[in-house]
Amino acid sequence: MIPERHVELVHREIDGVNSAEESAVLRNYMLQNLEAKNLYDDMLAIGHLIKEAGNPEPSPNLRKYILNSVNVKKYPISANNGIFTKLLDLYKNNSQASHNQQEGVMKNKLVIGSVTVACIAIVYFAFLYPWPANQGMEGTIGGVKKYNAHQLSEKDVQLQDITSGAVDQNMIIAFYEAAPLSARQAIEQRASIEQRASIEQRASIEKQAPLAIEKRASIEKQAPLAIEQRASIEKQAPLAIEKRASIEKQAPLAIEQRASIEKQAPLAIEKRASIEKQAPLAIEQRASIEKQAPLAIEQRASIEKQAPLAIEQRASIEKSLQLERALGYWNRAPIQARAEFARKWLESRGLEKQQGAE
Amino acid sequence: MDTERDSRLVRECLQGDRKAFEEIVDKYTKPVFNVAFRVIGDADEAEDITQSVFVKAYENLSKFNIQRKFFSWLYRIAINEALNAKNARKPGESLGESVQSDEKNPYEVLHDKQRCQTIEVALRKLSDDYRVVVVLRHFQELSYSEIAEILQLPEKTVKSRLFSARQQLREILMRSEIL
Repeated sequence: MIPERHVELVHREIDGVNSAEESAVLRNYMLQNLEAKNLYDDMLAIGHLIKEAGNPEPSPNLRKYILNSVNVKKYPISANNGIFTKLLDLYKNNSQASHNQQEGVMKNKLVIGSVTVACIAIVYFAFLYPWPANQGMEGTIGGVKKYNAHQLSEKDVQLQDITSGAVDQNMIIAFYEAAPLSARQAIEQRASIEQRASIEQRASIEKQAPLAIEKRASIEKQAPLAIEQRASIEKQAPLAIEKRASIEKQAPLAIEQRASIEKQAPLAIEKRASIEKQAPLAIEQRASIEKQAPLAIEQRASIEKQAPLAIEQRASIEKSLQLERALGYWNRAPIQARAEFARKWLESRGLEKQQGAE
Repeated sequence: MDTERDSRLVRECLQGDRKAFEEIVDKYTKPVFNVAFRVIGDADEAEDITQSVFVKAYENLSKFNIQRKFFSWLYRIAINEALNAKNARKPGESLGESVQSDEKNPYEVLHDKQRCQTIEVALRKLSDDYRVVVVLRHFQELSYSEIAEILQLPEKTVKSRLFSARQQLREILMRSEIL
């Protein structure tokens, strides 16, 4: 039996790690102990056998295989592996691993995209697209025309004034004047009735007007400051109560003055009617406008005084009234009569021109 | 092993130097292959393991502690890969054992000049722990301390395993009448 210490010395001697002293001790021991000597010889033989076995050479292509599998260019290493690099690596790994899966994913995406587009189209045409009404339009193309025709613009609508040169006004008036007396009387009568009706209406309205004035007067008594005065007073600061009282005393006088001015309003009813025809504001509208922008009564009176129409204006209005009547008659006349008159009119005009030329 | 040179190559490789990595491959392909071959016992499989070892080393190079010895780190990867491959084999699949039978007369083996194969057969009969230390000590000629660093074991344990492994080899070879 070899002591543990000497067994270790044998192994250490084989491995070449014994010191000179340890080697000397082992050599002396082996001279005395044959078992130890056999152990040492066997261990030495094992070492020789292993060396004889040697190391096999790998395939010459192994280096190439290794470098190809690593592929430095495609997968560069960085000492500072940041988040971006890690994400890139993850993406690369995933993209390589799931290369086959990607084809399936692409197909799915294509299908999902197509279905989505189809759904959007259906919703749009079902709810949003302005389809023409189809009820009661069977067998017609009106519904389609309604949506296909272009919209009318202001350029498409040109109002033709009867006073313009487009219509021969003189011919129409001449036609009216050449009309039978009974027809003209009927038209005049009708016009006078209409006029009278409007006058009566107006009279009834004006009958009510004093009431309105009285109401207004009572309102103004309650707050009888003229609006301009009131504004200026309010702007300036509260007036003393005494001053305000004196102004309120003067207010009824102003109202009486106003009533007398309105009574004296020198416009003829016809004139006023024509004015009101040209600017036919309803009384309520006028009242509301007056409330919004209330002229002082004195100012209004002065404007109404200045408002008399010039004779030329009045003549033109009367002419337009006559033309209106004539046009009404012209439109109601039979077409043969109108054509005959127009032919005669043009002939007479032609003769006049010839005479004038001669 | 030139530790300083290895550290320099690793640093250059981490900076993206392809040639540095090629140099590492040139230097360590054969040792890694031999370790794998001695553990697994099959050349083709050893080549696959060698390739896998370098790919793993490359991918994890940024995790390598530059203060340590590179070859220790690489050998450790190689041993782990080889042992994993060996353990992944089905029982009785070992190519070496199927070629070399215990029933063969060692004398014939000797006379057939197949002593190398005989020692390999004996090595395969060792446990993984014993075989690895023998491979690292006798085939790679590493010191106790280097083996201890690779296997991350105390040096005393390495020595103990090595002495026991040799004793077992002696008994195997004596039974085989090699010794």
